This record gives sequence, C-alpha cells and structure tokens, in this order.
Amino acid sequence: MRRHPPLTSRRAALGVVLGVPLLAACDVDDLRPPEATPSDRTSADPTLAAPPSDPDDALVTQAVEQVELAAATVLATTGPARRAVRPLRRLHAEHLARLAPDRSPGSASPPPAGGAGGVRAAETRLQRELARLAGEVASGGLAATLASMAAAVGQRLAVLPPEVR
Amino acid sequence: MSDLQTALAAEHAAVYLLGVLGGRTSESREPALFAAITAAHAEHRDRRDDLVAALAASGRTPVGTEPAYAVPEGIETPAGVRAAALDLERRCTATYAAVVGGTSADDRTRAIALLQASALAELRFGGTPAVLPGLEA
Repeated sequence: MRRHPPLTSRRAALGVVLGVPLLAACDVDDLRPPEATPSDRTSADPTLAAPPSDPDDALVTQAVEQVELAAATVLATTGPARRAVRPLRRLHAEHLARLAPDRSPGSASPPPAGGAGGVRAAETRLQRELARLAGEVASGGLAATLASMAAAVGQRLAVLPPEVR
Repeated sequence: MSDLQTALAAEHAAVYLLGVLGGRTSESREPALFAAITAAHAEHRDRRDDLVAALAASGRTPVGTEPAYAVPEGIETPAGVRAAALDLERRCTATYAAVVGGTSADDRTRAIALLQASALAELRFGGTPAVLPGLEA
C-alpha cells in the first residue's frame, strides 16, 4: 500500500477545482444525473405534455400496485414486530407519493390473502419487481427512480430485526 | 452520458481507493473495519473485472485506469477511513443510478444490480437506509 499521497489525475484534479468531491475516476459528468432521453421530452417540452398513451404509464401502475401490496402486508403486521416495520411503512408511503402523487393515502390494497405474515417475502418480491420494472421502462429517469426504490427496499431488508418474519 | 464505461471508471477508482484505505487500517487494532474494507475491495475488484469482461464481450474497449487518483483527506484515523469508505460507496451508488438512467437492455440490467449492491455496501460502513439511494444529495 502506498504511504504517500498519490498524484492526482487530471480528471480528479478537475473535480477538486470544481469543488466536486472525489471518487477520482469519475468525471464530473459521471456523477451527474443522466441527461434527458428522448422519452423524457414530455417533461421538458410543454408542447409534448400529456401524450395520449405513454407506454410507461402501465409500468408505473404496476409499480404502484406492487408497493401497495407490500404496504398492505406491513400494515397487517401485529405484535412486537409492528414497531420494527414502521420504517418500511414510511418507505412505502414515500415511494407511493413519488410514483402516484394524486393517489389517496387511504387507498391501500387490502392485506393479501393468507394473513399478515411474510414481510420479508413481500419486501423481497417488491425489490425484485421494482428492479424488473426499472429494466422495462422507456424513460431513463424513471428507470433510475425505480431502481433506486428497489435498492432502498434492499437496504431496509438488510436491517430488519429478527422478530420480523 | 452515463454508461457502463462510467461504471467501470468508478470501479477502477474504488479498487484503488479501497486499497489505500486498507493500507491505512490496522488489522490487529481495527479488525472489523479492516475486514469490511477487505471485503469491499474484493467486491469492487470483482465488479471491475465483470464490467471489463462485459464491455469486451460486446465489442467495446473498456476504459483503463488513471495513473493515480486523489486520496481523500482525513484518513489518518479509523473514523476517517470509515467515513471515506462510506463516501466512496455513496458515490458509487450515485454513479450507478446515473448509469441506470443512461442505459437500456442488458447494460441497464447490470447497472440496476450494481446500484443495489452498492446501496447495501453503504450499510457496511455506517450508512443508513435511504428513501432513494443514489438519487439523494
């Protein structure tokens, strides 16, 4: 291992000059959100707003349904695990607010048949489905959001206490 | 544009920096931190190699390493090393989120997996779960 600070690469030095924190190999551009893709034009150009049939709409609806399904399982949790799943409830609410801002807060799905058990299984399924949908949507920005949501579920799963089944 | 080359560039940097952080960490005095950095270093090395293979298999020339990388300040203490490692993982997560948005098909699938792995790696260095890992400031 080197004991002396290594030379700074040209690209990394540019990061310092611009005040960009260093993960050195990444260009400044590397750390920016992706530029708008053709499918993102609707948000940038008001003349293209509200297309009659955005192919991503159906996939967003699927994402909402999947989050609602997992949320219903969490809401049905009882006993000592109820407190432990509160962060998941908040996470689902945050994600639903982003995916469906016009959705009524009280419009959650009923708990799935079979009872309240299986929070871990429900969240694992949600993570998988969000990742799948991220791979299918046309919009790059939406893909990043869905993939990030999947990663968030994964983080919460990793810190779930053992009393949560 | 963010694509798999961007992800590979980030992995080159991560492998280098985690090597430096490992060199600043005492295995005997900070065994948990040393183990975490060693594990992270191995994971990033594997990801780097996977990305190189994927890019080459698709006919693209993988980007190489920089001659050297700037090392963060404040890594003279275990707390500083841990903070630097967490910062590195967060930057990787943000990079992968951008790569997800800039890719499609198989490249996007790979970026999605990288994003999820990096978000988990943040927890190893004291990170806390986020609402939108990689997309939050």
